[in-house]
Formats: sequence, C-alpha cells, structure tokens
Amino acid sequence: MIKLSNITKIYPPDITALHKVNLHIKPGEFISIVGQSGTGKTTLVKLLISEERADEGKIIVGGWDITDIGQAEISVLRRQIGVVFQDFKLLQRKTLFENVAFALQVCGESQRKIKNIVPQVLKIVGLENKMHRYPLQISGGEQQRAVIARALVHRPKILLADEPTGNLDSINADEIIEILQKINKFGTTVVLVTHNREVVNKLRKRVITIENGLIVSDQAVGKYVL
Amino acid sequence: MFLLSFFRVIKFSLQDIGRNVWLSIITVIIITLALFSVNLLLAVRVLTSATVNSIKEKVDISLYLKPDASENLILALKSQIENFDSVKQVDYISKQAAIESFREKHKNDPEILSALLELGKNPLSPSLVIKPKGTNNYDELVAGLNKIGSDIIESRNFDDPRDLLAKINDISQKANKAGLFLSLLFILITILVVYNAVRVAIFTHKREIGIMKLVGASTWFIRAPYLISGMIYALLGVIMIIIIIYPFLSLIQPYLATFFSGFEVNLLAYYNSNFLLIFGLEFLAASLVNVLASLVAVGKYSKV
Repeated sequence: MIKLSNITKIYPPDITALHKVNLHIKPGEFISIVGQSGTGKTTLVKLLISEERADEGKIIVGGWDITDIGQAEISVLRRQIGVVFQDFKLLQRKTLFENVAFALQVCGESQRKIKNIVPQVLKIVGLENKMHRYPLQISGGEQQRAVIARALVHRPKILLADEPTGNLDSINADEIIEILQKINKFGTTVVLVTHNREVVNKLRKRVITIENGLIVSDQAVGKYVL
Repeated sequence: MFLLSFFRVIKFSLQDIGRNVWLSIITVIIITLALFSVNLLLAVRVLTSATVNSIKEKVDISLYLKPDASENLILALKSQIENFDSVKQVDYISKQAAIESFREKHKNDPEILSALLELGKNPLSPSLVIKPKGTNNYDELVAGLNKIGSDIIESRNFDDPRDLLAKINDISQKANKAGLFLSLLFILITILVVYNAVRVAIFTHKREIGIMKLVGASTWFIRAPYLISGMIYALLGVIMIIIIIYPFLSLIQPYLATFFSGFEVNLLAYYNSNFLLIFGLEFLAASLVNVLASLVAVGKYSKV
C-alpha cells in the first residue's frame, strides 16, 4: 500500500529530517509512528501527501510512484488519501456539513450524493446534530471528529492521522482513537503519527519508532519505547 | 462535470462575499473611490477639451459689405462662400440685425445710444460671419475670400487671428500632454490601490486556501471563486460609481455652466452619450486588475 525506499529529506541549510528511511505498510494495517518532536514524523506525512518532496529515494502509494509527481496530479493524490491534522484545518467560514461536503465537491460528486452521504458520515462520528454549526461553535474534540468525517467521506484506502489527539484531553483522545480503530476494521489502512505513549500502548498494533530521522525500531505488536 | 464545478464555484464566490460582508464592502468602497478619482480626471479632460474647442469655435471672420448692397446679391455671395471647402458655416447679419445687436450690447450706455439717435440713420454695414471648418484652414479661407470679385464687399482687411490660434493650439497640446501624464499617473495609483485591496482580501483567506489544497482541491477550483468575486466587486464598484457620479454631475453642472459661460460645456450630456463606453471600460479595467491580483495572490498561497 505504502512503500518508502531510501527516503532522505534535508531542510536548508543542513537539517536532515529523514535519512535513508525504508518502510513498507501493507493494505489494512494500523501502524503507529512514534518519536519525540522534531524527529521527522510530520515530514513523513508531508511526503506521503506531496506537501514536501524527498531529496533522495522513492515513494509509492497504492502502486503509484509519487516521488516526482506533477503539480496537477497532487490534488488527485490527495483525494485518494484521508488526512487528519493536529490543528484540525477546518474551513472556519463553512459549516461542518459544508466542510465535509467540500472534500466531495473537489472530486466533482453530484449534489444528490453529497446530501445523502455527508449526514451519514457525520452520524458515524456523532455530529449529526451539529452539522450546521461552524467550527468555532463546537469543542476541540468535535472539530477533530469533523476532520475525521471529512477525511473519510470519499472512502480513501489510506488514512493519515498526524497527532490527531495532540490538542485533546484524554477522554476526547480515546474517542478519536476508537473511531480510527473502527475505520481500520472496515479495511482502511491507518497511519497514526503520535507521541502519546498511552494511546500507542493501548492499541497493541505495529509501532515504528523514529529518532533523529532514522527508523530505530519496527515492532509488529509494539509499545512506546522512547 | 464542468457545469457542476462552474455552478459550485459561483456558489462559493457568493457565499464568500456574503460571509465576509465587511471585507467585501471595504473592497467595493476602495474600488468605488478609485473609479471616482478616474471619473474626476475624465471630467477635467472633458472640460479642458470642450473649452479649447469652444474657443476654436469662436474664431470667425466678418466680411463687411457695402451699406447699400441688395439682399439678393448678399445672399448670392453667402451661398458662394458656403460652397468653399474650408467653410463650416456662414451667417448673414443684416443692417437691421447689426443695429439691434449694437443697441442691446450698449443698452446701459446712454451716451452711445444718444449719439446713435443724433445720427438719425443706421450707420452699420451688413456683414457675413464666416466660421472656418478648422483652425488649420484659416489661410486657405482668407485666400479664397480675397479671390472673390464682388463689388458689394466693403472691406477685405481681415483681422489676423493666427497668433491667437497658435496660442490656442499650444495650450491645447500642453493640456493634452499634462492630461495624459496625469491620467497615466492616476491610473497607475488606482491599479496599485485596487490590486493591494484585493490582495489583502485574499490574504485573510491564506489559511483556507492552504487547507483547500490539502483536501485535494485543484488550483483552478480554489482560484475560480476569487476570480468571480473580483469581477462581482468590479461590477458593484461600477454600479456604485454610477449611483454617485450622476447626482454629483447634476450638482456641479449649474456651477460649470456659470463658470464656463459662453462655452458649450455639458458633462451630463457627455456621460449620457458615452455611458456604455465609459462604464464598460471602467468595469473591464477594474475586473482585469482584480483578476490579476487574485491570480497572483491565490497562486502564492496555494503552493502547498
């Protein structure tokens, strides 16, 4: 599903975020990528959605070599991957319904399909009664659930979650992880980037540990070891 | 698919204008002010041009005829002169019309009027007032008048207005050059002001543009609503300026008429007869600047 071969990313002038990283994620896996701040976890996510480009190596997502992807193809790639961000990245001037619908509108989906699917997805994340509210009118946990709904609505094969619990209290964080697990059970590959020890230890799934841009451990049923 | 996206883009654009109503109002106000200054400049140019043309119009030649010349001969001469290529118009001022005009002109001067009474007869000659087609045809016209072999012409010593014409042409050229320079300067300032207003409006959407890009929106899908908003702002700006400029012109027209008394200066009539050209061009220019600013600004913020 995702294959990184010898990936190196250097930020000017000479900060090596990732150094010769090799990683293979199989379809349907739930994988946690852990490490302290500044070790290259977010860079990895940015490379997977072509927000950044690798200086060396090769990236394949769903059989598609995206290493030197063209500007026009980037939007096509992003429509096939769901992304959950730590800072939510919701459109503040749109309601929750409109935020989720936007992910379908950019794909050119019909209005009828949008009216049908969006309420269903918002119901899955428990926001069916707040779909006409704006992001600033709901809590952080609810905003993150709306982001998950937006990431899921176009049924992506891969869901990238970059520190999705970073801005949430433990109750909301647990709810978000539960939703991610449910999504994984339906067959979506989930890549969770986090430095939340409790979350990782509870999951009992594959854990990749990154330190100073290098993969230092890859455990099939791992724990947060740093 | 294209049609669906097009309607969505228009919907997003209208939604954005409505949900950022204050920013939209401020942008429209800036465009309106910019257009107002452009229209003021246009009005000044129209006034300058109309004044210079009116002065040129006032340059004419009076051909004085013998007092006893018969009406038939005078009209024949008038018709002969009217056939000159360099002649725009010939007016016949009879002896009677000349004395009436003289009396009217000196109605407040009793000494002159009593002197006229003492004379007991009309001392004025009939005349033909000839207007040349253009100030450049003056020499040709004088040469033509000198060639006429009519006995009823009393005097062929025409006043030579060439110095006056040279001065008028000089003023006219300088006014045109200064007007052109000022226009270019004003237009440049206007473009910069509007360009920055649109850029600031889009800057407030910087984060949203980045998010849209991350969600998978194509650059066109992000850019198009801003382009349409820019055109809507331009249209609203032009509508506002139409609403403002007509009462403004109606207000100043009587003062202009008094100030430029004797000249044909009518700004309202000029705006009425060139309505589509003036406001159509202003809309096109404002749209072009808005679209350009939107393209640059959105392009800058969508590089994620």
